[in-house]
Amino acid sequence: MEDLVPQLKKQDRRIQKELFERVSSKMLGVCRSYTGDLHHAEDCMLKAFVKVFKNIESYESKGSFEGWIRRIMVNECLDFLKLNKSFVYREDSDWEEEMDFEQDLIGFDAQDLLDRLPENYRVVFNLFVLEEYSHKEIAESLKISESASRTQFARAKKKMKELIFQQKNIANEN
Amino acid sequence: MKTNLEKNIKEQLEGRKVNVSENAWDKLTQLMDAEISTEKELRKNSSKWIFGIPISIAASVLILFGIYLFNQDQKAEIIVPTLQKTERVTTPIPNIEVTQSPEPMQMSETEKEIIVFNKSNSIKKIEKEVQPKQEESTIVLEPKPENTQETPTPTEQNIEWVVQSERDVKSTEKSKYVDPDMLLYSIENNQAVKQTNSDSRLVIIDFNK
Repeated sequence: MEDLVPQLKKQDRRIQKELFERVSSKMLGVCRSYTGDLHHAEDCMLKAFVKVFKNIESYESKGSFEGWIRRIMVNECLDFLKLNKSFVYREDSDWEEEMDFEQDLIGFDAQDLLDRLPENYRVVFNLFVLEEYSHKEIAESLKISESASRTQFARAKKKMKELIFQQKNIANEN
Repeated sequence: MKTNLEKNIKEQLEGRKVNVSENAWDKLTQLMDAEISTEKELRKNSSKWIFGIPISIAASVLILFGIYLFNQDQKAEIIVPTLQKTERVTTPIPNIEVTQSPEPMQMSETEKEIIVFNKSNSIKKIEKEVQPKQEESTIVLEPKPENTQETPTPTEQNIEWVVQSERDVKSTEKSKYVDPDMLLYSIENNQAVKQTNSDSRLVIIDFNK
């Protein structure tokens, strides 16, 4: 994919389309994990692609090109969520270290679980698990405290655990 | 250390692909074209600013220069009335009280009072030369002809101030010395001419003698 970068820097529309076709479905999956629905996810992805093509000169070939694009996608999703004020972080300090979730998740739809989480939980969970951000980085990117990030993450996992148990109980009853 | 939950979710979502809509690329090209057009507009606006700033500076400088010139003209207009005022001082003034401006307070040693005889009998002239420190204007007291016969003394009310020209000033300067005509007249009429003091410039003519 890095081989496209020199031609992308010339703003060649054909090469732009080629890159879009190569990574768009994957990037839409990334955006989908942050937004509540596919429609908003695609909007975020398209806006992020505009930024990718516009700021291609700032890519210095130091890291992975796909990782650079993915970061732009995530930032666009976060901007979208901030713009819509769909999540509010509270400064809670009464978080508890979560118990390890040993249960197998085979048969569970991860996206369905994420969609059923409150957005503030989901974002922190995604940033920590999928993007492998530290709580310090999450705190900086979301402009919250580090403890708030930890609390949101713990609550996200607790909520997911509850959802899984509920789903299992319903399945057992049936 | 990651839990099973985290691992499972990451495994499911990391390599996930979601199909984009058919017209996604068209939407993207529209967005890019809109972005390019807004950038062009911004460049145009910035170029307008680049040209606009020097023009506005030049205009403001011209306005300030105009205001400066206008103020200069106003100052010149303010000076004119003071000049006219000085002219008014030199013009004939019918009343004594009016002519007694603050300047007579500055009268110096040049102030002198000379009594002059007219050629006709019993007509007296009182000539008062007022010479301010800075101006060389002379004011002469001259009684009206019709009042002269009725008023024998020079301190009567109907006295007219006449401002003489520069040439007259010279003649009055001469008259502070003994006028030959006056002297002749006084001798012919056997009148006594008294000088009160040797240092004084006041000459008294006794008409009763």
